[in-house]
Amino acid sequence: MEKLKITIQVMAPPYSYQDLDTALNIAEAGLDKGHDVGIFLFTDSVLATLSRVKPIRMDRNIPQRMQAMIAEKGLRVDICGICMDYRGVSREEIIEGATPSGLPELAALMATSDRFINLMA
Amino acid sequence: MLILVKYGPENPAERWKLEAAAPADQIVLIQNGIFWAVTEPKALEGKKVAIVQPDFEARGYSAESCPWPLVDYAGLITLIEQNPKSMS
Amino acid sequence: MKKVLFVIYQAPGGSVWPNEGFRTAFGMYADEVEPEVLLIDQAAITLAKETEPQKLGLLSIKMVQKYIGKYDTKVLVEKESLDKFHVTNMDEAYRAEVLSRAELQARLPQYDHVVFM
Repeated sequence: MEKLKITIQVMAPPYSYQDLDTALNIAEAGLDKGHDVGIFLFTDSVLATLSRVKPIRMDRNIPQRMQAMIAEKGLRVDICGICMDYRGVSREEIIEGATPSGLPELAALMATSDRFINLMA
Repeated sequence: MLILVKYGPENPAERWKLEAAAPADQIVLIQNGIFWAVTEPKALEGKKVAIVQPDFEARGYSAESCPWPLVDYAGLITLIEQNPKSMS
Repeated sequence: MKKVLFVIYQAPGGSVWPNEGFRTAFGMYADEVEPEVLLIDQAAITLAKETEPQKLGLLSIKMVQKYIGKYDTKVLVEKESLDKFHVTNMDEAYRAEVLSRAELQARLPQYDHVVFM
């Protein structure tokens, strides 16, 4: 299979719902198969980029997993900037490698991606 | 077309998607979407369905009792590769 | 040019999804994507003249009308949903086209992506 550009859009907040975990699982499987995979974080899902998220010890750390996938597997993460502003998430607080962007970037992702998967609200 | 179903039968949008599915469309039941297979399998009749196995098993259902093909995430990527169009 | 249909199914007032669905669709004009918006189920009440979440102190929905006009965005609504939720007085400023469920479902193959909000 040729290398595909795959974009996954997420809207639900982390921990309350499974969507971030699902998105990261799909992304990891895609990256492991050699595809170029990106996640676009929209509305409440932007909270998953907060670097100081601190779950109890037995639970998974979603921002850290995402950051490791960015650094080690080349995952792209774009964040809706207006959605960040709405939720008081500043650029200084987000994990390394995630990119604040916006709807023009989502439009570009939709235009250039070979596959687009949305985890609906 | 790949149709991703993430919520169970209580969700009107998922019902709409399933009704709209053509016989050739690949439906994937993911997360609570697996409940369609448990409580409303009639809605899946005549359709091409796959179920995300980790989501099915983590909700307490066994793969042996499942009449539909189960996929792991690598298998889901294969379905994504095969279907350029999506409804999700 | 990719064709994308944004489908909104949740009511304005109770949720932000009608606003976000339209906002996302308008964002598509930044690139080679042709968006359309479809309202089904409870989201059909978005189009009623009397519906306005601003009455609750929430973000206005009628603000999207200006951009529908500016971009000439195609807005579709399902007839069965209008009937189910008793929407009789539609606000013409949304310029919505009323189609039956069967007509809408027959249109789906023309889109690259159908994105539910």
